[in-house]
Amino acid sequence: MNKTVMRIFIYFVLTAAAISLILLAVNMTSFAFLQSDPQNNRSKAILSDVSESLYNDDSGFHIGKGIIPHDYWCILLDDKGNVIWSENKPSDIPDHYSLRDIARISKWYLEDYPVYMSIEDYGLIILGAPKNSVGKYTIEYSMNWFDTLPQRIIKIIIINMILACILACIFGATLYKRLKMLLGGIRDLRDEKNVKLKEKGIFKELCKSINETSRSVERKNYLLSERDNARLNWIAGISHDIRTPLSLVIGNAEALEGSQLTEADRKRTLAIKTQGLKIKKLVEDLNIISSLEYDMQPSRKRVVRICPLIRRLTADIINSGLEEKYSIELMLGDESAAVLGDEALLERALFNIINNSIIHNNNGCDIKINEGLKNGNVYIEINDNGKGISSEVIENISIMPKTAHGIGLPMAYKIIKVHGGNMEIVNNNGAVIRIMLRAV
Amino acid sequence: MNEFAEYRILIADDEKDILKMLEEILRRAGFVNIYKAKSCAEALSIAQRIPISLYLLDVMLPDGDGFYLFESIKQFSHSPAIFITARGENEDKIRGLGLGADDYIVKPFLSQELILRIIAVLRRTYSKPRTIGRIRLSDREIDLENAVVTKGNEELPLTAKEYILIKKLYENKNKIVTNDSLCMAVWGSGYYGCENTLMVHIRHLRKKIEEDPSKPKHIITARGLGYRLVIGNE
Repeated sequence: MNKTVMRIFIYFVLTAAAISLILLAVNMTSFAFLQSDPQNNRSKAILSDVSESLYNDDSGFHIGKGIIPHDYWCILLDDKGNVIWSENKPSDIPDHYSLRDIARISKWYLEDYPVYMSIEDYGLIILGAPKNSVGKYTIEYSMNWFDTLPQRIIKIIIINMILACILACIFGATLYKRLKMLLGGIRDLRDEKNVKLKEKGIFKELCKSINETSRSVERKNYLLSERDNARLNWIAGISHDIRTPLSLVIGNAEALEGSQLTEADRKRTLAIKTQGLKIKKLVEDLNIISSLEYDMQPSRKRVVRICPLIRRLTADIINSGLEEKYSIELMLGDESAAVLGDEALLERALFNIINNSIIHNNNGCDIKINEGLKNGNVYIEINDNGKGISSEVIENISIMPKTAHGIGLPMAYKIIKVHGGNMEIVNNNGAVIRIMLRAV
Repeated sequence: MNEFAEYRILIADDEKDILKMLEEILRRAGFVNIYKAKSCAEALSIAQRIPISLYLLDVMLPDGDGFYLFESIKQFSHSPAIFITARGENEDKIRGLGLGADDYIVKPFLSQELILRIIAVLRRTYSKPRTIGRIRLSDREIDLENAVVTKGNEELPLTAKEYILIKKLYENKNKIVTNDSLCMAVWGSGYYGCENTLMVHIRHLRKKIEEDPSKPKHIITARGLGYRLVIGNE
């Protein structure tokens, strides 16, 4: 499970649980408030007023006007159950009550009128409220219920919490899925992949923005690659166009060489030919470097066996007239070592490294090439006993020089890099260059 | 001295100056029968009229590319072709197309290099027994035509593999030929791991051509690389 999304998910679930607990507490308090019914209290207040203001004189019981509202009624019973005073008494209310009647109406209703009672010295006051205005229920609890109330409240809270978490998980799963999709989209965006998220749900706007960003990145990359391609083709075209006139320059210089010339003219002709060949090499380098710069991958990959490549390259270097002061020794450990890559480029990289040892050690040197397989990688170590490589070159190995001067090693480095390999340069009694390439 | 001087060579290139320069290079090398074409159509019509020995074709021609021109030519002529290309990347195309191109050369080139390649291709195709047939060593001679080494009146026959090896070494005389190239020549691709067998064949070959096989003077080992056939200029 994704870490970030998981964190968001847990945060969401805990928040949901906390919210539900807060709501539970708030609701419990509110419920307690609801218990007090002002309407009900009104009846009790009237009863208390009646009991206070009812007085007895010679002509009987009296009460002040307006104390009993017109929709209420009130009767006073003597000890024998006879009505000795009444106010607003409806006709369906009897004038005499037995003990049984009293017991029946004490907590409930009298002929469907909700009634309230007050026991006075002079008798029993019964106040009747309008029909259907009050519901009366008896609530009884055992003492045990009160004793275990705190535990039960805690249980309820815990059950609530668990329930809240489960519900949050269920609802959160959807959120999780959407979040994961969003995160995936953003990751793809970072990797510059094509992103197309479904634009719906709560993250609709977000998805839309990500999709739009992806489209604009795609557009930009397309323009960039178009530009790179144009540049690459232009360079290839230019170098192609240079080759034909250069052939003529070199060819004609060679033709002149064969004719009768003064010594000075012969030197001039030779210079034309030599410089022409130098331009030829520059054009070749330009092509390789531009394709390395713009194509991040070698375009012509195939299985390249390393040992035959090293042997052929070494033989070519020796055959082309390597001076006696130089020697090349091969110590090839694994004949089967092969990599996937562009053979011409890899050959060029190794050539540049060997050639670097040759051209920078005018007094000669012994070059040793070690090869083998290690942990699924092909390693090639080229070392010499010459004067080594300057720290400036080592530090700037990943930077292609602006001119053709000193381009050999950075070009080799770049070639190894585009093949997904690694190239390390150290000085240890001469130059040591270690190359690692993934074996196939 | 050019033993192929009489051979007919057709050059096809759209660049007038290049055409002229190539002709001069060939003339200087001793070739006398040179035909020039500026387009595929022109080249095709010449090739149909005159039996050409070698085609020197530019890859880019105004009315098509050299590969397709060669495809058409191959329908009536079996002569070899060398392609001239101004792009390094065509190298793969030439190799990959399997068009039977015998060699290719990338512009710009040195005239000496071009001539060497032309001669090599001609030699491969029309190998004249007179020249390639005999390799003179200090006290004996290798007769490639009959695959025997002659020392005075003694004749030592060469096996098929020894014959291929000495021929390959001779084609690259005085240069190191890698084990890989030698094995490839003898056993074809999929030759890997043939080094030891190669060593055995070289030992046999040395017995036949060296005065003292334990101190070879002609087939020299380049340690870890291959072998070199050392012979003086004929």
